[in-house]
Amino acid sequence: MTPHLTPVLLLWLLSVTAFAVAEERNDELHALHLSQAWIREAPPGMNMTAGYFKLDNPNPQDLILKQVTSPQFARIELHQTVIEDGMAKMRPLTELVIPAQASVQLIPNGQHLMLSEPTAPFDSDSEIALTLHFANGYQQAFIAPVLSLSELDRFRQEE
Amino acid sequence: MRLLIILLSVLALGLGFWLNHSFSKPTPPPAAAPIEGLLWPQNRPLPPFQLTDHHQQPFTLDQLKGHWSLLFFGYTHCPDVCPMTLGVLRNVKQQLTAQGQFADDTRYIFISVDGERDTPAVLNRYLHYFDPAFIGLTGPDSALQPLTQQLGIVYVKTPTEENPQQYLVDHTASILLIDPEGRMIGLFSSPHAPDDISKRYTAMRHFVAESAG
Repeated sequence: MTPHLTPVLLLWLLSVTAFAVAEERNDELHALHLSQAWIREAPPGMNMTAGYFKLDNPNPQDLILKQVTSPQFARIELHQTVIEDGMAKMRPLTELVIPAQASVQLIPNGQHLMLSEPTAPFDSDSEIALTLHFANGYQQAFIAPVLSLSELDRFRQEE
Repeated sequence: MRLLIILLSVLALGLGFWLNHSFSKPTPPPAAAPIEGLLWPQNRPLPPFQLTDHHQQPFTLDQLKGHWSLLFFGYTHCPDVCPMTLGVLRNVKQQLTAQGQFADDTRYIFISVDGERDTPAVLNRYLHYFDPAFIGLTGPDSALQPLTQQLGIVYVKTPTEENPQQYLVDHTASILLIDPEGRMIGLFSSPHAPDDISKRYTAMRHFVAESAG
């Protein structure tokens, strides 16, 4: 191989790789399996609450969740509750990695969504439409029910 | 030179260990406290304090006395830990009522670490959602600090970047047990589960009753 050809070849290789990745992202990405999604009913007068769900990634590559949006909340953030020396600390997460062929579960006292600034009042009769936005541009929408205290009790007893 | 410093450090460390080993007395076995979280007999008396309850009435150490109280420090703008913990306390109350033991003389008290936003009216509406019998206390930092310092409760405001008004508060998430003499005699560390707390609280009550009798 002559040295002056190398950059050209490299460019060609890069473009092929980019194309292959784009194709994989758009065509070969399997939808994530979403389960155990729920939003905590907010006590009266409170304009913020938390949301939880489990995400299974059936794909051979890691997926990076960057953002979650909903037309029903102006602000949704990924958070993590950390208990350090008995102290509960809330830390914003810039992203959440869903490892290849593995799952991540958002739970109370752990990783969770903080939903605030609701665009309309919501209660345990409401359903919240959410969209997951991944770093590679992939999006996936789902619906999460709002659960009241007594509904949570029922789930706890069924466990 | 560097070697000498390292050598001296190692020697000093060794000396430290040796001194520690030779001067520390063998620690006596802890006095009977078979239940995890029970501070017995090393209880911690509460200092005098004055806060305001969710009905806008003054609430002092005297009002705490005469009852068993499960105390939790938190704030209403807390999206995850506080509603979960209040939900757990709600379940504990249900379980004690169902077992017909220690239900009538146990109170549940939520003390706000966010006096700025948690007015008595806000607390009233918030706590009523979990249980109408739950008591809420609030007050300025100056009124809260004697209590938090004595009980080892820490809280720190953490403003969010975009909106300083939307601050969160990092805070101790333990549930404390106060006896009718106004002394902290039990501590339930986070994470909380209703069955575990009901079981240990019941065991603590039996233990204290037996010790006193």
